[in-house]
Amino acid sequence: MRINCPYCGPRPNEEFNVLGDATKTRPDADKATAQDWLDYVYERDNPKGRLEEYWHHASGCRNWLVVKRNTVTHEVYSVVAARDYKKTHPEGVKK
Amino acid sequence: MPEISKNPKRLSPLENIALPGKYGAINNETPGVILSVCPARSVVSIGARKNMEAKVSAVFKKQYALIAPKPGRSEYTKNLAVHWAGPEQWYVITNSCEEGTLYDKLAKQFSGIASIIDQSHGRVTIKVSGRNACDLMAKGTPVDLHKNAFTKGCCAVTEMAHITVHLAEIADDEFEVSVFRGFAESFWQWLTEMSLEFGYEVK
Repeated sequence: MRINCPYCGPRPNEEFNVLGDATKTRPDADKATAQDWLDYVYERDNPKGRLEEYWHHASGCRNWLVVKRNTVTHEVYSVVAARDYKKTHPEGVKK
Repeated sequence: MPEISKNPKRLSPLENIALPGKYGAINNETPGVILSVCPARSVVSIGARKNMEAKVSAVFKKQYALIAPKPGRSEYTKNLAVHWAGPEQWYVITNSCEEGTLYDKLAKQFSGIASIIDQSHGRVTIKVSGRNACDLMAKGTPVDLHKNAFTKGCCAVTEMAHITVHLAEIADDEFEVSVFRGFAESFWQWLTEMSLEFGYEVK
């Protein structure tokens, strides 16, 4: 699978680390319980088909990316730097 | 108490490993690849703070008469090399000053607008040249090194032999690969093994 990094250009997935589902939203720091944090930080479903995921270009520009891709065909629909994604989607990544 | 030298000599982690000589398939021809470990140099990283990119660029322009390199680009002055190293991040490299001097200078010039870190002891740089230099580099990285895509003045952060490297083409078919110090020996082993088929000389 090739990911078109917005900074480095197309690179193979060996250069990246995957975090998974990017649609989780950060819990409210004042109200969140330990369970909420566990869920937000560690728990990720692995659904079949289209998914928006966080990928980290670890062996490259070391930036977090939001990658829209298909977990069955490995087709990549779009790649955006996470910080740019946040500018256009202030509410976070929506399902 | 053991004696501690005030001016210790910097030892490369490849000190007794990168031994000068000719190796591999040379067959009376000139070696296809020439490898040399760059002497101890000053390497300082600059990371612009949030929303400070324009100010950092302005300092580069005013102090060094160069534009802050865009992604995948390097800029050179008489004494300095400036490589892109990530979004709003650069490496500034020089051979021409005392240890620590470059850091002190940059820390002053970029005070308040960027984080300056001296990486001089943290990285080892190997120069790769010769007619097969490009073939050798292409064995390691997925970056397109064809002349139409990657030329003098280009650089990339990528992976070779599972090790993160910074790769720069400093002249036609002449590369500098820099790795973290702790990976230098492992990287050297891979590099020399991959060079055997071309024949290589260590200088």
